[in-house]
Amino acid sequence: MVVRPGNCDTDVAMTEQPAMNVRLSRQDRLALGVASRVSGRLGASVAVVRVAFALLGLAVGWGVVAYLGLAALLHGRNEPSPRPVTLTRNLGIVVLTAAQLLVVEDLFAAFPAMLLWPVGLVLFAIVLADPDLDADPTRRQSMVGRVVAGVVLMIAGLLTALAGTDDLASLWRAGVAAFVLVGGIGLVLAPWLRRVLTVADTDRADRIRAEERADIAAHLHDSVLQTLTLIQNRAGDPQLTAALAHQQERELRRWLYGADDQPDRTVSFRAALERVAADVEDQYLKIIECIVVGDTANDGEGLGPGPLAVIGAAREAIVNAAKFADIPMISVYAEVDEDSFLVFVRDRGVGFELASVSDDRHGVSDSILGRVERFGGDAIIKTSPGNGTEVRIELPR
Amino acid sequence: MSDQLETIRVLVVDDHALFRQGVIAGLGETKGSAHVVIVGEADDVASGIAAIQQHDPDVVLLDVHLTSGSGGEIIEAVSLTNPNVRFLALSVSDAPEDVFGVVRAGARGYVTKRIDSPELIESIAAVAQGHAVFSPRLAGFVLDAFKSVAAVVPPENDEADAELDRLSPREREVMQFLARGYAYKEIAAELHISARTVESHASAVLRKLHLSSRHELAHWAAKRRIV
Repeated sequence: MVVRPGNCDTDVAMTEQPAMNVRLSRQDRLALGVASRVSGRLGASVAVVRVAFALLGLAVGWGVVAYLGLAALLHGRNEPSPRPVTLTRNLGIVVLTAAQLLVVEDLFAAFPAMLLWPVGLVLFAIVLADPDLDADPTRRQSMVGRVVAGVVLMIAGLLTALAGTDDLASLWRAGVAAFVLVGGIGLVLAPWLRRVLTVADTDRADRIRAEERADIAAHLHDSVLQTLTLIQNRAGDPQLTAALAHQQERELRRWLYGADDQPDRTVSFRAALERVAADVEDQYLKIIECIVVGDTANDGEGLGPGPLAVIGAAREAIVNAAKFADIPMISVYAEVDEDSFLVFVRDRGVGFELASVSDDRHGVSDSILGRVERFGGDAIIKTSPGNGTEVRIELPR
Repeated sequence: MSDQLETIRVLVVDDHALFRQGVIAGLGETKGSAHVVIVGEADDVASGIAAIQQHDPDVVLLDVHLTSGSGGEIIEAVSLTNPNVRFLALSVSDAPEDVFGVVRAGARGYVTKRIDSPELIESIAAVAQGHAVFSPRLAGFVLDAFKSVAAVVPPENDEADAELDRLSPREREVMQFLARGYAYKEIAAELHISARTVESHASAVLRKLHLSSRHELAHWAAKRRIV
């Protein structure tokens, strides 16, 4: 038997280049490459795993089934970087194999030893199926639960079957028949199951892409389009135009390349809203009274996408007021409590006919309501010509 | 026309001479709902006390933060000699401990220096009549303070005390509208009650601010800055 060369000393390189693993296991294979893949996942030497498969295949028979099953299971998957080979893990395989062999020997002599079967099977299958066990302690807990449940179910099944017959030989036949049946169904359904999973993945990716596109559109509308409008309105003032263009370039750069975006994410809701108010105040030369009651904990984790969407929607409402209300003063009031974020943006300006805002005026529909709606929030605009405007934005926490 | 308007005698205490001149000029030019006459000005605690005792004005426009101390000291100093003087706090400082200090010392209201002249005249007139004047900022502070107080007041607290430590639902509503930038008249229209009733809710809140003895409320402002 040949020990896979470099299985332990190239471990670091493996971690950095996961693509290499697939090639390696393809090169280092005798039949379907299952043993080498399994050895990488278990942290046992490939030789030990091969011997175990061979012995179990010859003596028990299910070694062959397990080999083929694993070949199907692992087919086309990216291999995680192999675990380092350790003596204890090798020993573990040896002991498990030996136990299985002993059990087979005693199978017809002493019934209770048969109970080891399901235990070994379930443990083996689950350890192989779940390559991230070491990484995530919560998954380890759920695995313990699954092992216990699986073992209990299998023992219960065996006992039920036993209760119906005195003849161990017929039980054995029934067991094999059941196994073959389940295996057959599995093989028939496998391609379909795989397709269902792939389709679900594609749908999710599409949805995420669509949401990202909406976010980008909203952002561009917020910043670039607003500034362009501003520049057009003040085209007669070259200095101001240049300043606006410069400022917008800096902002867009920051947003595109994420150079300096982090501070926004680590501040509290109050600080973020106050900053937005100050920004708009500078840009549109209006007075914005910003009152915030309550706040989020500033634990360094920053605001989630929901609160950030509220801030974005509030910004949109404030900018709208600054641009269209034709009044020097805008009131912003926000309340943060255990259940919700609530923001009011109010002006005593000219107001407008809500019904007259067509769908293509991106500002009202998408940038205020659309932003918070996506996170389960709501926005209500109360206005009429001559009576000012108040936008109420609410998002449950 | 101006003869029929009530004349309100006002004293301005602020350590920024430029700002005092700005306010006085603004009040002089503006025709508002009341006729405001400036009877004097002062720039620190001592001269402020002296000027109040000399002129006994109707309303004192008081900066919360003077170089020699706080506006609250002036209010306390003249509370016995000139009990009828009413104070309107006026400040650029949005630090809640400054604002709360002056309001709890007895001011009838608080407005920021960004206020425009017609609105300032209206506020002065309201204070002169003994009404409460809440800027959105002060209403926000009140909501914040009573919210955190309510969280620490145990329910078995005896009735009379507890009453002072929390806002009634209606008072809360009025404070919220004020924080949103609504005037009394606008709130009255929204709630379908009279402007007088709105004002009485606001005055009730102001009384709670003055009287509530809760340790938590008194120190809320100081804590607020740390948080």
